[in-house]
Amino acid sequence: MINGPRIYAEVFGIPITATMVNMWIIMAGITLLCMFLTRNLKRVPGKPQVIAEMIVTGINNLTESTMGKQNMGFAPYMLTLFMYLGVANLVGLVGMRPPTADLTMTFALSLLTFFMTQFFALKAKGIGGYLKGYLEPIPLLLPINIIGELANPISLSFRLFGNMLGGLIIMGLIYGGLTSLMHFAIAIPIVAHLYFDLFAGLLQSFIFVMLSMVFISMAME
Amino acid sequence: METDFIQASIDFIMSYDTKVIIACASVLGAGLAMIAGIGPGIGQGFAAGKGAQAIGDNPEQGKGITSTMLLGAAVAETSGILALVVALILIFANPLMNATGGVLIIGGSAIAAGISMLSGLGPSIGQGYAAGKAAETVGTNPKNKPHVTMLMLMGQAVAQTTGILALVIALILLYANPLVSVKGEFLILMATALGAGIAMLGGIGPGIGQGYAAGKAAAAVGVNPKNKKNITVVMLVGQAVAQTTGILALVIALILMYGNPLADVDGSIIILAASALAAGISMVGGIGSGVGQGYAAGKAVEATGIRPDVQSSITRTMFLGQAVAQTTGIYALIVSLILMYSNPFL
Repeated sequence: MINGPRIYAEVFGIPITATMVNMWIIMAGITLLCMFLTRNLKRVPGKPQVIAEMIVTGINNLTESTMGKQNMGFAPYMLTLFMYLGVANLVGLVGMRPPTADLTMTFALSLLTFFMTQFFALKAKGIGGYLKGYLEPIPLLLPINIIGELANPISLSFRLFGNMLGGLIIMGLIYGGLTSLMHFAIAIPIVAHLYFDLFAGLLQSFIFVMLSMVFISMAME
Repeated sequence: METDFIQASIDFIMSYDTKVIIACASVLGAGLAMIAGIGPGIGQGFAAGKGAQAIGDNPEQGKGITSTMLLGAAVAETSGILALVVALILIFANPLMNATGGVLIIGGSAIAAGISMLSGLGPSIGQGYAAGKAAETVGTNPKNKPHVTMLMLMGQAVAQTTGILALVIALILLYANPLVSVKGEFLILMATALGAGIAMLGGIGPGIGQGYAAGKAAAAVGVNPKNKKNITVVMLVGQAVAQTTGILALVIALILMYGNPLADVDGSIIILAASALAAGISMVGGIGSGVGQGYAAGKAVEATGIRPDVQSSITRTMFLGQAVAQTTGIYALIVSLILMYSNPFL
């Protein structure tokens, strides 16, 4: 019921897990979708181009209002992150194991945000300004600032992981328990899927992206 | 003599039949789970009070106010129902009765499942507050009722998260307990199960705080429906931060259950057991951070409703304040990790 991701094979000692395989499938799917949406772009857009433009305008507006006009360069990364997380959190609906229900996946993504935060803070403020940031508002708070900084990727990754794994476990229990309740076998999973996959999945993708934006843009000031 | 007391207690418990001990622990767990009823009671009472007040102020909007209040109050009931379900499982369809493994571990898990469910009282209080604020707002701004209801439900659904995580831990303890197959002293593993359940109590705070933010958001959108997008974004982000200590509690509970370093350490059994228990108890401190961060989120949402043009400054200040309010929650995590990984008493 709550087994870890299945291990399909081992290559040079690295296990190929269901998380990785599903991740590759999703990546291929998103790549194909993007290629389809941006094929032969014209001044007067066709249907796929309208959808692509809507998505891009949406993320541009969100990036501008959250990170400011000078940080628009982050928009493509944030859209990539959001598309990947959105699809990854929703694949539970078609019976695949969401790769985001694996801590290695979510922690890797939160480490990306963490290192981006540190790198762009260094770049924007210089080494002196960066180190001084840890001594504010008073130098006594140095240990707390460091711990607080390290706690960010932990809470970021576990928020997504906990929500997705929680949904996975509860759905597994519902499907396991349904064998004895044939009459409700359809209604209960639909409601549960709506909350755990659709609502929680999309919400957690949005929150992951928003928090990444805020962490990075705040570190740069 | 002191150590004999603990041994004597264990001997006393173990003098009973296995089934009797597990049944005894299960009824205790069922009783503990039902303490979660505190939450819906408070929350729904608040919603009803706000609803009555709103009808007094705007009697002609009675129907809209009542329906919003009842809808919100019904959501606030969720944790109470989930606790009831777990209590009924423990009493009537207990999967632990047929479990194989150390009887102390199984008994401890039954009690811990109940304790974990208790944390549902937080989300219910918060959701009840949101319901009350929404009902009040519908009274003064009846034409914006769809927006108010929408934001209330969305905020309430987020506020439910820590309650759901507590349910997950309770269900793992009941149906797929990893501790029964761990090699180690039964007393330590029993304390580990209890610690995991108690850690989830940290979710009470985020539930209350997130509910407060949801209520403020519903009120803000009722007054300024055109700023709905800004209000929703600030609410969701503020709630996400307010949830952090609840997530850290989940981290500790999962470490305790799936990778407890105390289980295979040589040392005084009683200290190891106490450390496992204390690692969980420590996380209860996160309640404060959750409530406070939720209050900050609520006020930020309120401000965004009035001045969406300065949203980024509002959010920034909210984040800074929330980060400071989180400090004690982080201390709790550090003490918990020290107890598990570099305990000086071992």
